[in-house]
Amino acid sequence: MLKYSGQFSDAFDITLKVIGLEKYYYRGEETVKAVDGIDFEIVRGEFISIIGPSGSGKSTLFNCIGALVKPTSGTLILDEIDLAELDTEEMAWLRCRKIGYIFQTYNIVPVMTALENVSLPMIFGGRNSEDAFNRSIKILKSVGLGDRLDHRVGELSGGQQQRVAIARAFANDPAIILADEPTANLDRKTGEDIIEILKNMNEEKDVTIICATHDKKIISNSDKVIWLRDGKIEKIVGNKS
Amino acid sequence: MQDFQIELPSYNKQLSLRGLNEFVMSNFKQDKISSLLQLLTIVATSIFFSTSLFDYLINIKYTSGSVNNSIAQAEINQLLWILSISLLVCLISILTNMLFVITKRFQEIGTLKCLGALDNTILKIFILMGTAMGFIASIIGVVFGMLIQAIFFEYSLLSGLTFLDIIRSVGYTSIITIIVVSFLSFLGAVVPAYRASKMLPIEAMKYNA
Repeated sequence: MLKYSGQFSDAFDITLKVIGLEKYYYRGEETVKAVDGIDFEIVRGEFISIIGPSGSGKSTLFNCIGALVKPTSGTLILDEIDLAELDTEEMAWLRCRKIGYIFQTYNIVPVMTALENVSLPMIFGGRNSEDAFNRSIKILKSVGLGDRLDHRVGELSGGQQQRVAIARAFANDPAIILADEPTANLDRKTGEDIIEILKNMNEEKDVTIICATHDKKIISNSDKVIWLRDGKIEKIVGNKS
Repeated sequence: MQDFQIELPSYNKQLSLRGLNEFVMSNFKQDKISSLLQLLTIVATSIFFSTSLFDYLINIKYTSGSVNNSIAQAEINQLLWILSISLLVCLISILTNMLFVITKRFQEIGTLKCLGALDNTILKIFILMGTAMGFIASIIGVVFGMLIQAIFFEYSLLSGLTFLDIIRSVGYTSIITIIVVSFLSFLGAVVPAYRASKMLPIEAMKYNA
């Protein structure tokens, strides 16, 4: 049984609230403060970019938000669920239902077809295969891969693989999409297509997207840009409003 | 304060059998040459094990009516020795093989965990995969092993050994080999699969096999 206090969702519809987040790594005697006290909140439907030099704690912050690593201290509230209170099984449920991941290296399951890849999270989420396949076809069509359903990874280009990854991330209608350098391995044109798809999905489904990126095109498309340096927030710049 | 609960009703527990099978077999589709080599390793050890087991079983029968008991006993001891060695080879090769097969797929396991696979699901998938692999390989191994024995069969039927004895030995050998090899594959899969299932997704994904 999870409890939450209503204070977070009153005024705005807040998808993610980060309070005093810290993540330390211990290397022998030395303590590496990868994330050193970060607070921010993100309203539903926002498109956020996180930027900063390498070693600024971008990836660590990302992994913490994505429930991929446990923070040393601090609170993460995702869609009114406090991540610290979840056990392993609930964590898996959260990753399945609430978070969609898009990786720099796509991370498509190589032995499965595009269709199977997209339906995988739905099947994990308890849908029956037929239902999952129908929905996957719909999502794959919306990212422009309607004619590539039965292709395996080897038969897809980088851009197409990333589109499969995007479709997979949206499979369970998550509250938040985490994209880790989604365009870093793509050429400029393909990268722009990917950004466009993300932007469209963001507007269409009102899903929150957080991108860790160096790509200027993504940054100019975001509602807010969070600058990180040495594990701390340097500044938060709003692009619009 | 408001309470709400994460429903885990049908969640993940019943990954459809078809999906599971697909994943098990996918190992063979992915990288044909290396999968074939992995399978061959288990087949080869199954051949070794089944032939030495057959030799041992048939010798017990064959020498039971023998005049010179001490020589017969020495021969049986020698065969028992070979049998134990073959079992050891089986054990080591299957364990290392399974470790390799599963470690190679750590990155994929990490991805699956990101998509919401439960630890149990991961464990199930890879134990099933390992055991299925051992089972298939042991059947192939037994068939080849018995063929080899048929070609180089050196016992004469005149010395009290009946055709039924041979059939019976073949039967025992097949059953024991299949059970032993499948069980060793199961054992070999349990340890790395358990380790993989307990890993944080990010660790698994960054693992370089």
